[in-house]
Amino acid sequence: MPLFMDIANDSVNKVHEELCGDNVEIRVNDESVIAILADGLGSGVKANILATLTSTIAATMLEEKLGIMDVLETLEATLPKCQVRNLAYSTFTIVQVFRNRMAYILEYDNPPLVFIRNGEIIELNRTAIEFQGKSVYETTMKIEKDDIMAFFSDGVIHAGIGNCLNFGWQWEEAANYLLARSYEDKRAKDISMALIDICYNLYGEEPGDDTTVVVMKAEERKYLTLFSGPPLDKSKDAQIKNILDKARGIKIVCGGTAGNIVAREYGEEIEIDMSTMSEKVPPIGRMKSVDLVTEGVLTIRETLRLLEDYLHNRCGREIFEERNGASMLANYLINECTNIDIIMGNSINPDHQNPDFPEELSIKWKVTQKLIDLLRYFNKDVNIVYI
Amino acid sequence: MKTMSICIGSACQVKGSYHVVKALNEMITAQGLKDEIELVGSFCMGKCNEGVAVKCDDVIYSVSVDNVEEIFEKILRGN
Repeated sequence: MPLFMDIANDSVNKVHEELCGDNVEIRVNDESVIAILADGLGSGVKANILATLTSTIAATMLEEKLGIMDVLETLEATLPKCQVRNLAYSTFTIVQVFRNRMAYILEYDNPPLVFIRNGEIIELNRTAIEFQGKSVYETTMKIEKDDIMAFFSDGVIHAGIGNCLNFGWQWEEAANYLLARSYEDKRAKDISMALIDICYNLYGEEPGDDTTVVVMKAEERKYLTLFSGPPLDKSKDAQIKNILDKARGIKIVCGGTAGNIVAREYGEEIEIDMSTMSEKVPPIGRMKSVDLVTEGVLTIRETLRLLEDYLHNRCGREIFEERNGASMLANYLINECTNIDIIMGNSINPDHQNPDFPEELSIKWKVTQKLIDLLRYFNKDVNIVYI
Repeated sequence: MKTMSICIGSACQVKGSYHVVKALNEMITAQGLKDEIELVGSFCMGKCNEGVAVKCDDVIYSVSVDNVEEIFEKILRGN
């Protein structure tokens, strides 16, 4: 079974710049996961173009299984030369993890990749390849569960120069900071957000360079099945039980009617936990065969709002700890699984279409779609089963 | 012992089931009926148009924040 790669990246731009001079390209396909960080020379538009070209060309060529020498030659021949410095230049780090757990790491002039295994930073067994007078370092190794790979642009190790630290913090310090975060934070996103935050603070909120970090964490796959919305054709109700019976991992039902159907098919009772009731979100229900039953559209909408706040750094992990349906659902979706199957029925509650009703009731489908997009953004492997 | 189930489905929630539950709880406490009436939640009862749906002794009442006292008294009298 291939490991799941939890990938997250965050950036801050150099002060007064609209564009970031670093670019991250992530490709996920059946054979491998590719993550590339390119840091273009200079800043602003020029750097952005160099970085985007570099990362996109490399990602596309690797995806098409071309050799690394071909990639380097293409980059060299394609990148425009900087008129100020007469160099075609963009530093980059490439990580490609294959299904058989082999990782291929290629580093060119970015700060070295931080590899964390079993709570320690380990030294990579790098081999230098000479390419037109420059050294590119390549590493091939097998990855294990819970390995963390973090790589960043030099903006990270320059953070604080001339501001609160004379020489910025060094690679060792940045690496140790990542190591410390890896003990307490579960998700790649938490680690990458934490590192970028601290860099931004070291710069005194005026970054002197584009600063970007990519964090990849190898995990066992964990599955979650979410049943949202009853099927249009009532005779298919029995199929739901079949699907849920076969499903691995966590099972969640979103929607009152959907919950009633599952309870009937399993011959169980839903017990409502009134203590989880709040003004915004109806309480959750519990039943034996399912891990969580929530109300539908209002809960999903609130979950979506929580996750958007979390994504845009308007709030922290406390959103996962509240005792209400939306918070619990968010926690399951973000922290407890890597693969999500969503069973979506097309049935529409005719009563919800009443024009006197608030609009929010008629938009379950739309809200669910948004949630799916957001989960994909969080790097979840989402499959939709229409029934 | 009577059981009152309050619908906490989407439509009823929007129509204020949270406040109805709060009001009912307050009345039950105020009148010292804690041992006689149990409040439970229930997902959709199929009365979305007439929410908030409150079911007691197999009768479904349409309750709102405004008439919750009146209906509560009615259910008690029926006792």
